[in-house]
This record gives sequence, structure tokens and C-alpha cells, in this order.
Amino acid sequence: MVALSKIMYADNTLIQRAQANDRAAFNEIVLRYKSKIHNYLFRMVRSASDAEDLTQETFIRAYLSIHTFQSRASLNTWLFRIATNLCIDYSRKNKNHIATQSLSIEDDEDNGSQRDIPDLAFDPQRLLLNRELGKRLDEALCQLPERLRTVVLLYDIEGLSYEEIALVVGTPLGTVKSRLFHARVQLREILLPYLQEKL
Amino acid sequence: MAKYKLNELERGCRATRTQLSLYVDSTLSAREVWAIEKHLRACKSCSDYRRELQATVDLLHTTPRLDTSDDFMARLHSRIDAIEPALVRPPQWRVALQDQWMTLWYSRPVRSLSAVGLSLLVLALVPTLVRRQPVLPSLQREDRAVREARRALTQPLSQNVVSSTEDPFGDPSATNLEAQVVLNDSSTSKTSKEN
Repeated sequence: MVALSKIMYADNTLIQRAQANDRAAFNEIVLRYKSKIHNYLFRMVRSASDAEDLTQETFIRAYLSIHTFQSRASLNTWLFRIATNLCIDYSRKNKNHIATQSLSIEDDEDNGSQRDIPDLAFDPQRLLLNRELGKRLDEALCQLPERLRTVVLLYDIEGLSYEEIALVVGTPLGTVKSRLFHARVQLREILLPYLQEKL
Repeated sequence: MAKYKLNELERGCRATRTQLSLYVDSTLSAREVWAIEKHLRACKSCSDYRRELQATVDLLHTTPRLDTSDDFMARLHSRIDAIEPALVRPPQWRVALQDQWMTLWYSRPVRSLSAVGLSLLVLALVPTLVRRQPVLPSLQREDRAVREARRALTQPLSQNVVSSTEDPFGDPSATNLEAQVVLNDSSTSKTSKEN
């Protein structure tokens, strides 16, 4: 028998099976999207353990309401919408706590988290520069307001389209484009000293 | 004049910079791209700005990704089990059968064979369906009406035939005919007696 995980079923097929209480199909959905959702949530809440809890909560909510899911939106959009709503709730509850937290990838490296660092050409100077820039970028992302950070993370890191982000965030398309523009401009201003070294 | 030119350039810079984010994403129309590139060729400041914005976006694209911990799935399963212990789930054999079926269905030869088989079935059924045209209810009603009218016409005739065979003398036309025959016979015998 060919293992279920080795077959690329379409999302719609998996949803139909999950709606018929098929746990294997739901597992496939989780395996397919957990990394994306977790990465997004980690950059939103700036804590690896909280991000993992929120990722679990996202999939539990998806599991409980998968019967009501209709194929008007994509599964990707739906899951990111659940995650974004959880983020909003989280930041309301932990407003003061978030303000004092800082994001540091190196701090979380001992937690067993796997990282996939691109551009690993064996050039120590370049690697160091990339690491330094990556760290600065994380800090710069932390300084963005939540509504700008959501859009830039969804577009530039998770690869959603403008239209999908509009559905996730629940704003018009023009607002998404405008927020993305402002987010990038702010990031450029924060990163300018490091960018000028690189360019 | 110089002041006017500076203002025009400033306006051009402002318009270009507000669109640079979309330009970097390649979502502008050809005309808009042409206008921006024209301005970028003339304005070093905006050209540098574009390069820095592009570098920021490139940096975002190459940002490291964080994955979940190894026990993520196990913890998720235990949480789901705790939430819904009485969830009705299909038996394992049905799930396995569904997997087998989907595996078979998604394999290319089976799908091609099924498509060929379905086409042949359609080709075989079409002539049969075309020949057997269904009778419309209105036509059925009309047919029934014609049959009843015909019965109404033929019934008195058959009744007449039956009555005439049972009692041929009861028929007035038969009585007339008999009377006529008797009359003819009597006139013939009178004529022979006179001769």
C-alpha cells in the first residue's frame, strides 16, 4: 500500500475526507501547513513556545470547524485567517508582555527548533553578514506595528497574494497594498545602515 | 524656471516612490512600468531608493524559517482526543480501503482506462436512447381519446350484428325484405294461373 503522505492529494480531496471524520486526511493537512503557520505565528508573537501553542490552537480550531468549511476560500487562506485571529486575541491579552519581549533566533536555537538558513555557501564573511542582517531584520520586523507586520509577513515571507491577504486580514485590496508599501518603507529605513554595507 | 523644474522632479519622485513597492512586485501595467523606469533613469535618488527597497524585499524572501518541535503532532493528537473522545470515526479498514481506492484512481493508467471505458459505454448507449423515444403524456392522452371514439363507433355496429343474428326477424329491415319476397312470390303465382 502506498502511504498516504507520499501522495499529493489536492486540498479539496483532503478537506472532503477530513469532513467525513477521516483523521488521516486531517493529519495530512496539518503536515502540509504546520510549518508555514508556525513560522508566521512565531514572527507575530516573538516567542517560540507561544507560537507553537498558537499553531496547535489553529489546527484544533480547524479540526472542530472543518465541517463548516466551504471551498469559497482556499485552505491556506482559511488557516492563516484562523491564525491571524488567534494572534489578535493573543496580543490583546499579552499587550504589556509583548512590548518587553525581543525576538532573537539564537536564543531559541537550543529549543530543538529546526532552522533552514538559505544561502549557505561556504563564505564565512558572507555567512556572518547574512546572519547579522537576518538578526537586524527580525528586530526591524518587531518594530513594525502589528497590522503592517501581518501584511509583510504574509506577502514577502509566506508568499500569499494580495487577494488572499485581503481575505485573511478582512480589508480591501487597496489597504493591503498600502500597508505593504508602508511596511517595506519602514523596514528599509530601519535596515538602511546594514543595507548600504551590503549594496 | 529652476524652481519649477525642482518641483516637477519632486512630484515625480513622490509619485514614483509610492509605486515602487508594486514595481518591485511586478504588478504594475506596462505603461506604469515605462513611466517609472523613465523617472529612475533620470533620478539617482529614486534609483538608489529602489535598490534599497529591492534589497529589503530580497532579505525578507531569504529569511530563515522556523519549524515546529518534533513532538508537535503527538501533542496535537492528544489534545484532539481530549476534546472529542466520542467522535464518530470511520473504521480503520474503511480508511485503508479509501486509501487504496484513491491510490488506484490517481494512478494514470486506471484513469485513462476508465475514460476509454466510459466513452465506449456512451457510444453504445446513445443509439439505443435515440431509437427509444419516450411517449409524451399529451400524446398518450390523445391516443386514448382516439381509441375511445373508435370504440364508441364500432360498439353499436357489433351490437346490431349480434341482435340481428340472435333475432333476425326482429330487424325491421329484414321484415320488410321478407314481406317484399312474399309479395313477389304471390304476384308470380297469380300470373302463372292466368296463363
